[in-house]
Amino acid sequence: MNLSAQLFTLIDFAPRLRRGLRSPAATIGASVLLIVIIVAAFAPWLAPSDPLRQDIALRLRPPGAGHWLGTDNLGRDILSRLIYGARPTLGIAALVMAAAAPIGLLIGIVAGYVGGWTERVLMRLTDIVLAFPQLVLALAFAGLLGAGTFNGALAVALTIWPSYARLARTETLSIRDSDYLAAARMLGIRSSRLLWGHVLPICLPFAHVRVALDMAATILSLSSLGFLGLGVQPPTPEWGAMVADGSKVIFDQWWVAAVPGAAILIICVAFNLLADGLRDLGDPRHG
Amino acid sequence: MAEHPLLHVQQLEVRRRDNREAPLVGPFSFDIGSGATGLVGESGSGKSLTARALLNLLPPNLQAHSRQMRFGDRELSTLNNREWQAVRGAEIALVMQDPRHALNPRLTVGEQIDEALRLHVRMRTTQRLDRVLQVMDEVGLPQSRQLLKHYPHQLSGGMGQRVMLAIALVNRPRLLIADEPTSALDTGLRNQVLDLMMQLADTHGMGLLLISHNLPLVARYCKQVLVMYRGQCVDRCAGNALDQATSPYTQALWNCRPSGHTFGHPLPVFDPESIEANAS
Amino acid sequence: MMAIDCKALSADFSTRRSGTTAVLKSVQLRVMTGETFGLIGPSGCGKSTLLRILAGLHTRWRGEVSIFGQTLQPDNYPRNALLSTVQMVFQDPYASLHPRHSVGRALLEPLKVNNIPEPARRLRQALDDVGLPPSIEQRYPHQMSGGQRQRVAIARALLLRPSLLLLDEPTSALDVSVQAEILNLLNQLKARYNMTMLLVSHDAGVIAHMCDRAAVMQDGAMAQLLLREQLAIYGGT
Repeated sequence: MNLSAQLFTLIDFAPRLRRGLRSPAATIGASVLLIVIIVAAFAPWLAPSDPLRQDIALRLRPPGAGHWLGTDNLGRDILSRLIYGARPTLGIAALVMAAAAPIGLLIGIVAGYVGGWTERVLMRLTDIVLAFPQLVLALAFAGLLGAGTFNGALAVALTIWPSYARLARTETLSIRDSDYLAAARMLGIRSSRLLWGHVLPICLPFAHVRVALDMAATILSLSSLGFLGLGVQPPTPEWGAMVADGSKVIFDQWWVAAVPGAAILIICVAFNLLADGLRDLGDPRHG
Repeated sequence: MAEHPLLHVQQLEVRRRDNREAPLVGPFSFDIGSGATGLVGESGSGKSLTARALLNLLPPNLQAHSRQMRFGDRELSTLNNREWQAVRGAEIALVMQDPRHALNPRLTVGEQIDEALRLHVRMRTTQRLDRVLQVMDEVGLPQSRQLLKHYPHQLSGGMGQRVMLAIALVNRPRLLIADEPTSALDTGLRNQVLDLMMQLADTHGMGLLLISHNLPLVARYCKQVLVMYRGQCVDRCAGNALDQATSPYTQALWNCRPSGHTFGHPLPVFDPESIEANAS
Repeated sequence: MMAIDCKALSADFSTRRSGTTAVLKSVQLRVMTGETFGLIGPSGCGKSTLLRILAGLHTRWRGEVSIFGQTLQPDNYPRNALLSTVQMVFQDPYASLHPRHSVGRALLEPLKVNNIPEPARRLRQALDDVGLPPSIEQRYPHQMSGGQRQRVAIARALLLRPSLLLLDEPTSALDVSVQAEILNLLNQLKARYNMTMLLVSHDAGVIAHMCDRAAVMQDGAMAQLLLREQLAIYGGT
């Protein structure tokens, strides 16, 4: 309880929201996301039919009256699958962020604040992970951990924490010798209390922006994993897997791949707009 | 004061563009003649906004308006942006507060002085170089040929301020506006730089508007002084008469400075309300 | 008892590019309990470094330093023992308050961390001491004027009732009229809480107004000791 209360004050939500409404980019991005989240939450009521129900007789129908966005190669309604698919797609992306951002921030802040050998070891580790192509590394982890939703998410999370670590270290270094941290130390505030209550709030705004930017990339990575069969397992609807299915028939029945592809595109744009807006708000000149 | 001042400003005011509030500065009128004019006030008094308004350099959300802004025989208040470009830097130049922020860290000293020159006159490269070396010599930069290749971070604070002065003076402006030119410097350097500015203004017959929060400094260098408080000009007097000023704000500013004589006594603190009542 | 006693204090900065440069060269300094001692000199003369050594913020030094009889070691500053002995007010009130902490949070946290009873009452008193209204508790640094911020910084430094207050150019970022208020406030608080003050400034007027004795520093060494009689004329008019 105490922890969540503290987190809440750290993010100080209300004024942020009020200022957020003044940035059109953030507003548009946030509204699109909100709509998608509502749709995902009310999927059973909104979806016209069961996303798993197959009807071979109706396979690969173009968008039309019965199936607004057509059907896939097993005759499942694409609109329903798209609506249900928002759940794992967004859920897993959020899970990835929830795992990666705190790990990265922790490593970066500790490295930046403690310095010396701790910093060298942690940052070299970060560099090593950063040096691999992200998708190849995610594939390797996913292969190692075995296929599955959770493992896929973990694999992607393991590849993106380094960017948070670098960011947090840079920010921490820039304030390590600041007067306000010196004053806090002189008043007996130290170690985890100092890092959590004083250093972290400085890094958070940058991390927010980074999360919003990375969300888009993460959905694409997850989709790629799904595409290769290492993410969400069939028949669960997931946007990446849907694109993979559709690609087999892309020249004749383009909508099967295009519809989930467009959904990924829209959500990525929404996250990027939100990130842009957040960055503007994080700028001190916006007060 | 001469019958024909260098700059004659009538009813200058600065407002926000949305214009609902009272003006941030003014309206007030003043003349800048030969010799130094001081503009003093504390932070938020509008002295920097006034300087920016004289150079048409206000931030986009602000707007300056004046009934008349006569510079020599030119009317400045009706100039468009392109015409301003020709005046600014060439005829009216600005020296800013902190060389560490005002100089471009990626360009050498020579390039930055030369750039100011190149923008306003057409000269051959060799002629420009001569002019740059000459102005560096005037502002007392030693070994100017080597210094040309230096970057701002290789300069001390005093040298940086001299470089800024060189950039401002390279086009031989008729009016130099110095916005807190020495507040980033130590006391010793401060006097050197100001002495230099006064001497250059004298030799070139250049007008000088010195903006500062430092009263004794303005009293020492300026012929006439305008005192600003919350956007209003609350007092104007001769520089050497500042210590006998009758305006309560000027008096308060003068008296609240600590010194050896005030040891053991609380410093006088002024009451903003009484000053406001007096100003309006 | 001697408030501060430094003997043969030397310190240097080392940077990768320019190697090691000495900032303090065998400095000797004695500050008596209850006096206001000034350090004056041009920027880079080492006066701030001296202050930061006493505050435990600069750890590369050699020599003997003790504060109220407590000996300091370069690599081991007795922070706990000195919490309610030494506190500091920094030069720039814009940089010495955490930009994302409200005044209330900034002042309450040290009280709670150090288990001081009745923190809420102490917070109110701290604000009252520096002449700020209780309503300022909710404000963030960017919502306050420079003078208000410096008052908050002073209130924070006084929370643990230090007997030695280190002042690093406490008014050089402020307007003269605000400077007058802050200097008056410091003198009042010094009398109220029986403090010793070590004041660093490059402004001769401020030193002459505040200090019982002062030392002029030049290139990392003490160049001259000024007693009250000399200080009276040192600041000029």
